[in-house]
Amino acid sequence: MIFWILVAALVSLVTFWVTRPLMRAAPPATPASAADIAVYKDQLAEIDADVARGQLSPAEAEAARAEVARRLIRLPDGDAPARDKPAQTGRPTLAFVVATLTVPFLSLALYLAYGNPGLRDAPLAERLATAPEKATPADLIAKVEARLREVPGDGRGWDVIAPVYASQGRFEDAIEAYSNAIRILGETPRRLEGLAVADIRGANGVVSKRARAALERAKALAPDRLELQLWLSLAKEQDGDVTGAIADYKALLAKAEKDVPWREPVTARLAQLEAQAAGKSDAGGTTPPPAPDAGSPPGNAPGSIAALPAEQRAMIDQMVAGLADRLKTNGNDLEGWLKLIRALKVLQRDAEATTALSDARKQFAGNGEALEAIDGLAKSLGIGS
Amino acid sequence: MTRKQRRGIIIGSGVAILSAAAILVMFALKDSVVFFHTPSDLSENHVKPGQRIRLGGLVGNGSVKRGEGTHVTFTVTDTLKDIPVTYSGVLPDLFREGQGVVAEGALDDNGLFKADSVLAKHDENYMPKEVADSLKAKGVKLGEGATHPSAQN
Amino acid sequence: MVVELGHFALVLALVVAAVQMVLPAWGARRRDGRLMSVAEPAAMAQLLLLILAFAALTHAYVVSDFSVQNVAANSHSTKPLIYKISGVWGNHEGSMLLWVLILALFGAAVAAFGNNLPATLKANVLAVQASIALAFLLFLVTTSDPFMRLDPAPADGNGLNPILQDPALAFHPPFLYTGYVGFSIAFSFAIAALIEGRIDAAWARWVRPWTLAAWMFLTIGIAMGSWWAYYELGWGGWWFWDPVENASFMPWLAGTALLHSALVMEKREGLKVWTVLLAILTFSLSLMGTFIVRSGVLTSVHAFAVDPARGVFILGILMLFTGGGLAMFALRAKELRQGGMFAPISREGSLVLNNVLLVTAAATVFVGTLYPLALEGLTGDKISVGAPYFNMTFVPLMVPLLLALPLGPILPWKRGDLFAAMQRLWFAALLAVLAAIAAFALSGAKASLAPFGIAIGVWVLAGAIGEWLLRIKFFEAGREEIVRRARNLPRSAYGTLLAHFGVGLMVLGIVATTAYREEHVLVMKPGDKVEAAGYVVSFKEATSGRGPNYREELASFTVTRDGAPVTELVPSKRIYDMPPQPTTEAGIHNSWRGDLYIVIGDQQLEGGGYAVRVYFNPLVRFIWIGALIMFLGGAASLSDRRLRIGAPVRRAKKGAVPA
Repeated sequence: MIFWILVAALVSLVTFWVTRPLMRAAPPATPASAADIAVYKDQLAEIDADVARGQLSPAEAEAARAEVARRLIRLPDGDAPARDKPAQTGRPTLAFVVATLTVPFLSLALYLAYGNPGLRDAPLAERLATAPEKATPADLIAKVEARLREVPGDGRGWDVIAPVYASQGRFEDAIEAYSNAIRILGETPRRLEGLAVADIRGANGVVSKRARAALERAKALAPDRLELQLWLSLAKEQDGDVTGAIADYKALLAKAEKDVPWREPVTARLAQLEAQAAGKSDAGGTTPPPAPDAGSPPGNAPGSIAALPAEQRAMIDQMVAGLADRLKTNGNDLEGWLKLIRALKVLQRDAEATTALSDARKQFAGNGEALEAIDGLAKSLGIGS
Repeated sequence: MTRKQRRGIIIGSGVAILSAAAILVMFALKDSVVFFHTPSDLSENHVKPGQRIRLGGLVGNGSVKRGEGTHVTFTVTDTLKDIPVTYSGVLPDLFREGQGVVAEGALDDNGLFKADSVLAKHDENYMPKEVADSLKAKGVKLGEGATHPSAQN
Repeated sequence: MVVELGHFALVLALVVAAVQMVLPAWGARRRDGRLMSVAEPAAMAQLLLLILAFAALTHAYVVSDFSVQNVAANSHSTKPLIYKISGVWGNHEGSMLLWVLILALFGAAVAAFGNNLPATLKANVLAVQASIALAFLLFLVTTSDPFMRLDPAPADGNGLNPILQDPALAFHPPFLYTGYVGFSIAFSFAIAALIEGRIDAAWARWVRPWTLAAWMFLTIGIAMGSWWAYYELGWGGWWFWDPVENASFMPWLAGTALLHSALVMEKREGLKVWTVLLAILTFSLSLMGTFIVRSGVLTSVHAFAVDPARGVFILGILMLFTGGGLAMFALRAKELRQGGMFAPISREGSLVLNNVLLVTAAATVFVGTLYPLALEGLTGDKISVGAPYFNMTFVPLMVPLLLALPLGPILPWKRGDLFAAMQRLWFAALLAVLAAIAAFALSGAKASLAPFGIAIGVWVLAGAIGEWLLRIKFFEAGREEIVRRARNLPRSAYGTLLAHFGVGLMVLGIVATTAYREEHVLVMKPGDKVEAAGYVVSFKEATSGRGPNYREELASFTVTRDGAPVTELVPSKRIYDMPPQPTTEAGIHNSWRGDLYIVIGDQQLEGGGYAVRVYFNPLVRFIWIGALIMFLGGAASLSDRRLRIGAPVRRAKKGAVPA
């Protein structure tokens, strides 16, 4: 309400101010050449001053004066055609009415088209001071961040915000927060694991030296936590030690409780690795190397898809759906089909995986090499028959 | 001198200066213009060794090797072809693997590009326009070039 | 509410500009005093509304209101206050808002101080000025709205490009824009004169102060940009012939020419047609500079806005005003009467030479800047035109200009004697020759053209001082007479002297830095030493630290000369938090002899050394001090009663107060 009052005040003030001359008596009409005459008189005075200063010789001054005088004479006086139109005397009511209407209406129309009249200001300080239950998660983060800037030694703050960063995909920030928490509060398996996982995700799934060191220290503190071993096994796999990774995964599956969320994906990954290892020892080596796993973002151990936050799962589902759509319109993409089948299987959408498998077979009917690749994959994933 | 003559002299000298400048411009453009090429252009043999060019693309992942002193070698890639580059000097702030870069210099007889200046892209979202255009023309999606190949396991 | 009020004020300013464009022009046609006098309150209202809008945006930046998209995209809550404020114009939308604000400021200044103008001329000038404002306000509101909102607001902003977080750059755009936009007044005067079909010596007198003000600010704005590039980009250079630099340099060259040709017009009523054309061209080049910077058409180190839709809009504005102005010129120029006569060797003749050379120089810069674009558009070939092109074309044009510069002001009007003028400056010539010999003796044959360049610099410097000595009759008169003459010399004469002196200093600085620079690039470990220009620079240690919104690696160097400690320099590399981006901070030791300039590069993988560049840039400070003196020269001229904007004395005596 106050806003509209201010807008109304501003509009009326400006309209009044701008249109006022139209309703007043016309300013006294000075002859058009008065301004020019003033300039030339000034120039004559300057010439005199220059002479007095000795900057101009009297002869030069005389010539200069003559020139200025000629300019004065040449000035159009009252009878020049362009200048003798009598000044208008009638009040320009039309202009007044048009201007008075245009200014408020046009400005309001334009403003309503481009502005956001209802939207309040949101200065940061004010947002941080609002009650927590009204605050958005972003505000809460901002609040903690503001506090941490003031008290960077607040380990608890870092500890709280680190997993939040990780869940938002701000891995660099998460790494810094975990590192600070560890530096201030000391190492715990949870913090070390958080640090390592943030690092791995930030590096798109590559287990770096730093991540591995953190995992190993965490394992020393909590030898029973299987998830730590899972990540280390992934590192092994990335180093090319497939046999070691297979052994690790088998051992992990044996040790794990029945309902750990990563049981299914790890099983699938294990099957895949075994197929790969078997494929390698084949003399022909016709099976294509396993295509990049489209289903899971490269950042995640295949074992942990189900354990991902719902948000990321949704993202993965979306990617898979996109791939499926693409293949519907352009089916001649073997790699794509292999990716899709594997992804669906890993996501535990077995029925769809089977459908995709038969679609792929139909698509590549008559192409022996492709069919072989598809069958190889189906066998390794344990679907189709 | 008449008014006409005076004006003639002034206009004449003006024209003389302008034409001298035009000749200078033409010579300078001929000598100092540097063409921009991508690694693919170079490997298709468009460019003679020794000709000054600007080479633009992405810095190849894992290709940066520092040698003696400030000597450094890296490859410039448009993801289709790689060109090895050597450079001696301080690299710009934003020089990083997987990011856009423009190197100015010439090829030697062995196909090694000797750069005497290296410009990196200027901020996170900005890529030298030439680089962005030619990568786009070659179907490389920007941003994807920066992911680590080893991440695709 | 503040934000929305600012947005409304912006829209209202647009409508007021439309009124200011239509009514006064109509009034000038009908010779209706009432309609014409709408221009003044409209110009003032437009200015106040834009101040309101600008203040609202600045407020949003200061309180970190991230519900404003522009703030969220370009600011961050941890940024120091000064960069929150400079962030307002550190981006496309905000800088365009500043642009129109300055445009309105000049319009309002004409409205307030233009009491000495004929009523119709003033009305037409303000109407033309409003048409420019209208075009740019439409551009702002429809394509570059600085008040776009986000709901809900993000937690924090994206931050300002760290290389822009710098005191010199914070104030570079306002000065630069004041220069760019100031030439709009010369344009408006030119168009108004063409509308009226009448132009005379008085016109030049009215235009000159505005042109001078614009020129001053453009000079200092360009100098600040160059200074910033020198110490912030870490390349040790001060000018790169970058398209964005050229964009501001072309209007400067044309504006400098305009300043000199308007002088001929005021004193002798000569070069009328040319001056009007130059006024149109200068502002067109300003618009083109805006186009180049704001549309992102050129590859350049200044990575600002890149958005084709905006580019097309600004291109439209550029073509409308350039094309419209030139068409108007073609239609009306024939009606303008020719003015006074002069011989080729005369003050006027020297000013014509100045104009021809400056405009030709602007044309070569224009070709070098736009040729790559045109070629790419026509053939698809991508090229870059670098410094060698500009050195080959620009420098040869500057040499005759600088050689003639000291002679021009001592030639009399109408006809002069070149030989006599040279005789009067014999000691300046002698000094120049001595300087060249000294430079040659000191440097040997290393840089063969450098002594010649030094001689030119000294010639211009000594010429300026010599002109002053001649004017106060230093060699002839007694002491009292000299003092009296020095006091009585008009300020505009001092302005010219200062500006020319500044040019001389700048030339000296440029030649010395370019020819005699020392550069060492090497890898240094703590304890290593390197010698540069008589200094011994030793690497003490490398440390790391944290600033308000960045982390940095610092390297400290102790500098000694002849065994005595001189200073400690701490160049660093910073990584900003938001956006995470590195910058190089150079360590610079200033002295009159030159700057010792150290930057560190990456840490080497083996051995822990750093790549280090050590430069010695002799006399480099003269470049910016020269520009500052040119600025002060402009200020001195502007304060001269003869040019004072207020009004002729006659009226001031009557006590008429400028509205």
